[in-house]
Amino acid sequence: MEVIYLLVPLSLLLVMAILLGFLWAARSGQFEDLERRGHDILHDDDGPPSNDEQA
Amino acid sequence: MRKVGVLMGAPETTVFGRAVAPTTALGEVCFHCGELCARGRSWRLSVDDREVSLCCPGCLAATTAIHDLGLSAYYLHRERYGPRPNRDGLSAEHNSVYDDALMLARFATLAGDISSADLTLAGMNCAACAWLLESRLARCAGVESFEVNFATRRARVSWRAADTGLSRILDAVAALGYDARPFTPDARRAQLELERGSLLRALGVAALFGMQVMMIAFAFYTGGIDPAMQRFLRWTSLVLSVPVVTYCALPFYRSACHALRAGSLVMEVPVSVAIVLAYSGSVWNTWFDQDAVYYDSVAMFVTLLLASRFLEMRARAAASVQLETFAALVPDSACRVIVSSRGERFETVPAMRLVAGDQVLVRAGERMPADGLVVSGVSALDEAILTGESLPQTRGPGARVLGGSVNLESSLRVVVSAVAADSFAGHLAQLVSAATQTRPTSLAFSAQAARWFVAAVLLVGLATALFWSLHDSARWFSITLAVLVVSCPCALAIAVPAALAAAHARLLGAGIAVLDGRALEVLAKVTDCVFDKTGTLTTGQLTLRAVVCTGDAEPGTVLAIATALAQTSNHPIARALRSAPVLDSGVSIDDCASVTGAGLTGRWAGGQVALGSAAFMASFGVPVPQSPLTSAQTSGQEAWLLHDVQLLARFEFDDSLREDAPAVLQGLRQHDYNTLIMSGDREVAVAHIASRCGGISYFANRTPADKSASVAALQREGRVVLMVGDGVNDAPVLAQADVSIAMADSASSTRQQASILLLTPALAAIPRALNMARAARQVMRQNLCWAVLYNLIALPLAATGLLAPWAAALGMSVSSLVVVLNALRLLRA
Repeated sequence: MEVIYLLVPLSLLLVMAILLGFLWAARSGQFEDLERRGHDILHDDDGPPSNDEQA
Repeated sequence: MRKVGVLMGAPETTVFGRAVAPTTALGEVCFHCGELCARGRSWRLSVDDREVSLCCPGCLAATTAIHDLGLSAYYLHRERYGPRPNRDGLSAEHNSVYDDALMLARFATLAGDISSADLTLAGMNCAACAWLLESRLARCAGVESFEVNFATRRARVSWRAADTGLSRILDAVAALGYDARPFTPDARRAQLELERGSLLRALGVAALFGMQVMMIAFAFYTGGIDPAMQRFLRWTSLVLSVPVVTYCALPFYRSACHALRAGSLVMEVPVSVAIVLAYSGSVWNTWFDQDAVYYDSVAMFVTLLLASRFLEMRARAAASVQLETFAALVPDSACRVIVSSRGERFETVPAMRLVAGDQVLVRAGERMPADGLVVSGVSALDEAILTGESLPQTRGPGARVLGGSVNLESSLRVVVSAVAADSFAGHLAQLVSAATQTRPTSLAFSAQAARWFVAAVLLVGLATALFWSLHDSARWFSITLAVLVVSCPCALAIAVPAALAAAHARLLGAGIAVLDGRALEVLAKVTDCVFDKTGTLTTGQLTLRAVVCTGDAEPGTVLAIATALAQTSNHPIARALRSAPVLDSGVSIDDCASVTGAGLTGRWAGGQVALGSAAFMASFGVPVPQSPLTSAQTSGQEAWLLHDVQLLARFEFDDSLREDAPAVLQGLRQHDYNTLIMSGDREVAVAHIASRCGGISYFANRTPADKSASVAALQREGRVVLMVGDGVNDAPVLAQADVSIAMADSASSTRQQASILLLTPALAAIPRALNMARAARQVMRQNLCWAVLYNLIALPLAATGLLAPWAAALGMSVSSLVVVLNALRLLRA
């Protein structure tokens, strides 16, 4: 069971990585609009950004 | 205009990826907005080899623009119809005021040469709209970024000021049929979103570390671990719990300190005490290598509490999306008249740049940019939202006009007399803040429960510590700790937010947005329901009540003539006629003209027809027979139709009562709520509505200040008042009432004051909210009873030292679970 002494610190590192990932996601607004981005896949692409507007 | 399918699911049948506009029995449906095309008045457009019909030039322009920009994919992916463009006649000229430096300073930030601003978007119905807008704006020169948040109906835009202006961006959005306005965030909503963000982070961190602590705790539950390993795992738990008891629990400590400093007890006080004691006790035991650590209990307690608060907050944040509408009372732009030696000049200026003495031109259909006096012109003004007066008021030279009233008929020249704080709207704002300060603060249910609970637990804990330190000094600490953990107010603390979260979510689903976290608790105690009249009990729109034929024409023909005459006018009577069902549509009128402040004329069947007031008829030399009631006694308004020298008919109009109003008011009375109408409208109009609602008592001719004084008087008698209103004139009384409900199409300043906002125009939502509030209180009571019962059983066991630490922790978790499950019942209430 001595392997616990290695595994627990390792899992702590993993937790830290997940924590950083979560904080980044929360800060960059990943949780703000959960409805909309799911629909983006339906639109194939946005096309080349055209130059048709110079008005 | 009849709406068909606007709010329904799939708007069109899709055949092999191609949208086909359905044809209903009533006629063709507009391809873009889904409204019914007027017969013979639709526009045809060829889209992808297929003819589609459009109901208006606005929709035609939007569809053409979308197609020409290569964004037709929108029509394939949308789930609902698009918005109908140009609903409030906003023109490009008005948008130009948003390029004004003073105006920009109000809501835009400048970094280098990039400006950015937040926009609210109206008309966004589905996620495809967000895609459409982003794709469109990505093609605008000078736009750095345009990001739409569909959940909040907002966009964040940044642009290079050198290449484009905000007005161009707004124009581009408007061309697609959406309505975008820059805004300064509503303070209440900004606060909610800030709290939501920090709660989300706290919950995520608590859940993450809580899981690790629980995992390790599981090893302790099974037992049989050698002492060295146990020591190691305990220290690991200690470290893992640190973020939970510091960062995540910080909001609890804060509000506990805040409350204690203010000399009151709230639920956060026992919560904080429990967290700190259980954690520090566990640290003590870990240090001295004693049994009984409660890291798992602490972590789970904090996580559960944050989760229930987060859910409750999320429901309210979702509701607060409704707070921001652009319907600001006073428009952002005004048309200023500049008189110089070379004649007159008109310029569009931001309304905030107007000063007293400026002359402005207000065209028909526009809102007054400021309080003022009419210089020239005569027109009818709709002041319903300001004063509650249901009928339009005719104002001529010298008359006082209020900023925010709508000019219905013809252009007026107005000299600005008061701006900002001195104006009518400014006075209302002052009344609102005064009312907010005098509003009674009724103690929240949970705070009452917290009071005796803290006292009881601390007493029992103290007694236990005393007893055991005298009898078995080796065990006093671990037993006292067990008492405190077992009595941990988890169930008690979750009881209220869990019930509220479920109730808020359920109500939001039913179209009732709860904006104030304490609204439901107060709503359950309401004794008096006070209603505004115009716009609340009534729809605020005139409808045709009766047609009395006085000549030799058929009612169908008479109505058809009147309707045809009314096509071009913006007067409420004309609108009422247009929305009346026409039986005979074969009537055509030539030479339609409107006589300002009087009526409409035209030619029909070789003779002159005229529609208007009795005075207008008299001006044609045709006296109107005296009706049994004089105009001051009738509740509504009437109009006459004249053909040459013969009076054809009399039309009676009425501010139409909402269909469910009588039933709702009667229902409230039967449930022993004291029901009142409080209106700024004339006595006869209010009396009429009151009698149609079953003779409930009323107050008429109330100014905004009167209204809030009357409610304050009721409150002094110990009544708990619910106020339901919609107009700007209701804002002070909504702020004064213990709890307030704003109707679906309320003015924005009214929404700001409301604790609850209806999303559908049905009054039936009010008894529903009251019932839900009572059901929620019932669940809270059950939950609190359960928490107390559990403590009554568990405390003696813990105090006598019979309860093992793991059993204490388990008991706490189970009791919390029971509370949450009980609260979930509200989702089906």
